Amino acid sequence: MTRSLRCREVERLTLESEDRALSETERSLANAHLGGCRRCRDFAADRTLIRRELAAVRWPTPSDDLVFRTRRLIRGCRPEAATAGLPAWIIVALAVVSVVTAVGLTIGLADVTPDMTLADLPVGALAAVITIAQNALTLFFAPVVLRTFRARRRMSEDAR
Amino acid sequence: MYRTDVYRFTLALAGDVRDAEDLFQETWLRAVKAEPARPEAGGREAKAWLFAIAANAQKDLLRKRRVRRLFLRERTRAISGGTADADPGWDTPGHAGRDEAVRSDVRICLRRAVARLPGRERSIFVLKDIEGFRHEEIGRMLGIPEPTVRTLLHRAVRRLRRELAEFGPGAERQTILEEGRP
Repeated sequence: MTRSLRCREVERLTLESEDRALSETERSLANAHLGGCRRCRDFAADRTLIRRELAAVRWPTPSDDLVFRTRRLIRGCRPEAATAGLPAWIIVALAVVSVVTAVGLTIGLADVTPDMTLADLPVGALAAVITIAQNALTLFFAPVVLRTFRARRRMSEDAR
Repeated sequence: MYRTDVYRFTLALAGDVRDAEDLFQETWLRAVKAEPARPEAGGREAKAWLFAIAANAQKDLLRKRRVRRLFLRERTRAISGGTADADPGWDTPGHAGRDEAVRSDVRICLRRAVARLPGRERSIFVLKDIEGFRHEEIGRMLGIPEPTVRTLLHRAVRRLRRELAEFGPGAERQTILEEGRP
């Protein structure tokens, strides 16, 4: 004995038929119902209309600006971003410069006594003083230079 | 890699460009934070993972707005209905022939109707009809049983039919349909 389906069940079968193949029984029951029910035929037709119109929609792509802003946000929230260190080559260069400067200062300042004025300083000692002043300036401006370097690198990554 | 897919999904989900952009950014931020949980396999699974994140983000956004509206009596756009008239960001009507103009009207109406769907129904409808996921996949993505997905999709389609009554073949029978509803 076959039972007949209610409209609600046929509507659900219409939707399910988009997702899976209906069994032979389900299909014949639904077809039998659809043959005599305009309401369910309309449901199926409306369903086709909705799907057809959605398929015809032209979807935009995200703007470059949005992608750029999102990348910047992501970079800021990455755990490694907060602890990102200096590039290795900068650390090595700083170490070399520090050692050379220490040796140079030791040699240059060996003959300097507290009672000497700037005019009395020998050439080596004068070079050492200039080096000290230069290092102080470098330390003062290093954060600015590093920030610029990182910003440029970020921009070149974004461009890629 | 999936930025176009995610953007399309967020546009359909949010129903307005500004909200879609916020949702797009929030989705990627959450994806980065949840990176260890990302499925090994790429393709459809990775896309489903991203869409699940977007759907959750949208749910949180709606919840926050509801709370804000409740306590602060914020007089901004309504949670769902208010977005219907905002810039949808998709399918702006063109200047083609008359048929195309009618179809654009249908699509505008459809877009508004989708924007008016309640949050979960909207997510399910978009995932099914725009993104082409299966009921089972949608259930897994949203953490709800498959029969619930089917029920909510059915409800969403019924709502959309009512909104599109003037365009569909069932237009003239809509009154009977409404009366016949349980």
